[in-house]
Amino acid sequence: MAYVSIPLYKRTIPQRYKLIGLKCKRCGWINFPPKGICKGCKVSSEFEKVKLSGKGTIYSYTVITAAAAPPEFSKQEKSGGSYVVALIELDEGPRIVAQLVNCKPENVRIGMRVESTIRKIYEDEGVVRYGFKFKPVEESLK
Amino acid sequence: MMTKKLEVNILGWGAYIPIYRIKIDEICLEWGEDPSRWRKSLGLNEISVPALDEDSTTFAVEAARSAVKRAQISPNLITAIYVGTESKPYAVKPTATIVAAAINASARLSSADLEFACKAGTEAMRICIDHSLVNKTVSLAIGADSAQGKPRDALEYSAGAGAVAFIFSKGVPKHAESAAMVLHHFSYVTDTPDFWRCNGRKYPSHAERFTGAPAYFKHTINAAKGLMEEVGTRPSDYDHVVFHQPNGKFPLKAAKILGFDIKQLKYGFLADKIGNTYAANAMIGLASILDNANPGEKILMVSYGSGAGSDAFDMMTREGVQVKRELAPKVLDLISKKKYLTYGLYAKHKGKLIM
Ligand SMILES: [Zn+2]
Repeated sequence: MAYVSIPLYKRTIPQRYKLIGLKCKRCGWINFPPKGICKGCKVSSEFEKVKLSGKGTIYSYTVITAAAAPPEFSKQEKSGGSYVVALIELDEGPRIVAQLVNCKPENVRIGMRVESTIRKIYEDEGVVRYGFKFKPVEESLK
Repeated sequence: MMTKKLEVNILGWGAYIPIYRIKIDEICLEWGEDPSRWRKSLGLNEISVPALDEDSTTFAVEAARSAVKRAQISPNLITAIYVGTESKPYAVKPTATIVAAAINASARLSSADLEFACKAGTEAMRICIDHSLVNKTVSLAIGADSAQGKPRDALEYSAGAGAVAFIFSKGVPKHAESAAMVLHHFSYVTDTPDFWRCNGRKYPSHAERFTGAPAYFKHTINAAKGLMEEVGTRPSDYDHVVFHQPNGKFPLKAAKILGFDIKQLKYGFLADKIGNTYAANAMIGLASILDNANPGEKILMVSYGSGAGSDAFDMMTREGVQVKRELAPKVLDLISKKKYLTYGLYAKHKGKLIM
């Protein structure tokens, strides 16, 4: 993840806090994160805003350990140890990358039902960057 | 003297408790203290602890989202959001606006964060109740804290973490239903330096033995008595009562002094399982009562905040309470989902050990 300025962070708050996506008026594809040109039909730029449910399924995942953590997450890795980053297929269709919480790496499995939760993603320029992570629907606490 | 009933509805409620816990025994092990002595003197077994990436703001958002689900209203009907907290991530920048953005509330909003130690949450309730009463609109009050205690200080053994939110309205919006009605509130406040945190300090200070009789008991009892006198009720009129729970002992003693039976505390008494959640404390107890009560039951809630003051509320559950409780996680479910931390991990989670 690259540097996100405060103005850009502010502009993207609806997608970060509330999972607001863009539904293509031409083909119906749900674009998340929002795009300029529809990812579905690759021509339309006419959208309506839709709030996604925040429910989805783990499509794939990886465990990030010390050496692999990008700079903004190195503090997290140092404190909490390795963490799970998952490719999640939302119920509305889009696939997004997000961290998985409330679940140890060894308990993650493909096909697991997850839902969004708000967390501190990292802090930069003194501003806490809140955003979504995902947690298992039936929290496996083993 | 009988005052006019407020009759402001509770449309929805929502609680949030992080999944991590530390046992009192584990803290004692770290400091070489006797666990049974501490468990007994505090009346606590374990306390709730935030995840590394949680703070009072993320708690507040989660609680507010559950409250909106139970209220079954569009968030743009909300015209006021007040958040009581003493652990905001920013010294200056409101939590309330972050909550507003996260729940999709409109920008036409009255909002601020409030500070009054553990009473800030119920003060947010009072402001929202009065706001709804005057403007005939919907309002959202939140108590949220991730409390800090100095390593080895008595507060370290009791400081918990959590949040709770209530949605109020005068009248009931279309397609919504009332879960309960707030009938009266009463506040009692004096200048009492029993607990404080100075500017720029990470940990609070407290006046040891001064926290009991002249602080907690004086305000809690005067607020409860003041309310019951104004309303014309007696302890036996209430099906449920919840007091602020700075530990597992004070609320039981307050109940006894006032003439309540231990059975009336059943659903609201949670301190032994999560510790002191500060601004969320008594209000999480109220949420748990709403998770369990039948329609038409009377509730008394009395908060306490150091500094010092208490807010007392006289309430009655309504028909909607039963259906609504199934629409979001219940307090006891949140309490039962837990993972224990060692003291080392706990210190990291609380930011006591900065990496
Ligand atoms: Zn399209």
